[in-house]
Amino acid sequence: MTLRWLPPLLVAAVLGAAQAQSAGHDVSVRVPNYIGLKIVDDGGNIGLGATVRFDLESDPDAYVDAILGGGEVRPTAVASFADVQVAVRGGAWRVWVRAQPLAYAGPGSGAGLRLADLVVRRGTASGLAPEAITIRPGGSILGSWSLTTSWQRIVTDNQSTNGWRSLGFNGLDYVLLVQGDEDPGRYATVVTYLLTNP
Amino acid sequence: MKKLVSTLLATAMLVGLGAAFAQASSHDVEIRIPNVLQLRIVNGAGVAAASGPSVTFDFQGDADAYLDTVNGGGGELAPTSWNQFDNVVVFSNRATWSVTVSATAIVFDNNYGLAGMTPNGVSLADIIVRPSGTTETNVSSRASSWDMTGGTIASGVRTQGWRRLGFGGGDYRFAVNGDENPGTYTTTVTYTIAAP
Repeated sequence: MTLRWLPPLLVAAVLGAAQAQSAGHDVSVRVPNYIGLKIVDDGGNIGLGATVRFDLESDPDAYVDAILGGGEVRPTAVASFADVQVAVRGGAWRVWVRAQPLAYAGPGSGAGLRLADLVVRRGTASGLAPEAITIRPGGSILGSWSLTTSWQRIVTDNQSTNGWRSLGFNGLDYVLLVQGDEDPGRYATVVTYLLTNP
Repeated sequence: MKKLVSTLLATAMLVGLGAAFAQASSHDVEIRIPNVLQLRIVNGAGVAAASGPSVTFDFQGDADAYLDTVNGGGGELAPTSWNQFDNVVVFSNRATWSVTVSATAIVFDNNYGLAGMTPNGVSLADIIVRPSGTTETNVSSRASSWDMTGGTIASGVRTQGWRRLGFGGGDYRFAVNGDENPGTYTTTVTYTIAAP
């Protein structure tokens, strides 16, 4: 009698033990401490060959009129420069700007035009504005800046952007200040925006 | 094992993406400044007239002025009228510039129909400008007078705007001495700005 009942009891005991068992394993996810800044084109892609052009040679009257009317010229063409975006996962972050010295090619000496004559008036022509999440309370962004060869801080913030966020300006917001004392010719510079996460 | 490989791959991709995000981005700026050398003859409003400016010495309409001057031994007569010509303005972004004057050869019209009449006594040297106005900033020099035989009349540096040379149609003079044959004499005067 005893022998006849033993096997079912053993099976039940084994099954009961299996149901009570547990097994664990670790999951390791490394989220990168990334920071990023990119100039993007109209499609939101990285703006390869982003350029701001002031071609007053093709319209000298616009140059003359600008001098008589306050001295500000808007770009005649902007390419692949629809926005500047940043992505910061956390911590304090800053955005800086600087430009290479103006390179000149023309019949004169390149007098009359300086880097400081290139000004960004954020959002004035593009209509862009920093997304609300980009600059949090306590943070700041300049309304305008002139270009220099030294790093100049234009944004200060301390929190995550939770993804790519606009700084609220693009190539259309560039302005060239002219006074009529500029040597004719062609001038060029490269402007760099730098994101740091101290 | 498969799950571990997947987790490692995903982690590698994230790290890879993180490395790809640029911390800095650059763009070019190109500026093309035109070579501006402009000159305009302007009216009293400072605007270049749509119709051509002109200076007229009409002594048929005022013969006494002509006769009195000749009778006095000759002299210079002011124009009887001028149109759309109150000043000459220049604009230059070149380091230096100059303005020259030139005129076409005088054309004679025997408009009175006098028999055998030919031009005489009127030359480009008899048409003179004696500026009465002042020059503006960055106009370095301007001749005190000139005639239509040609030459440099003014020079300057970068004007940084439109600058007046300080003369107009009313500053023209016609030198007479009585040897002028009757008729109508015309020429076209051109002012030109140039830089070296």
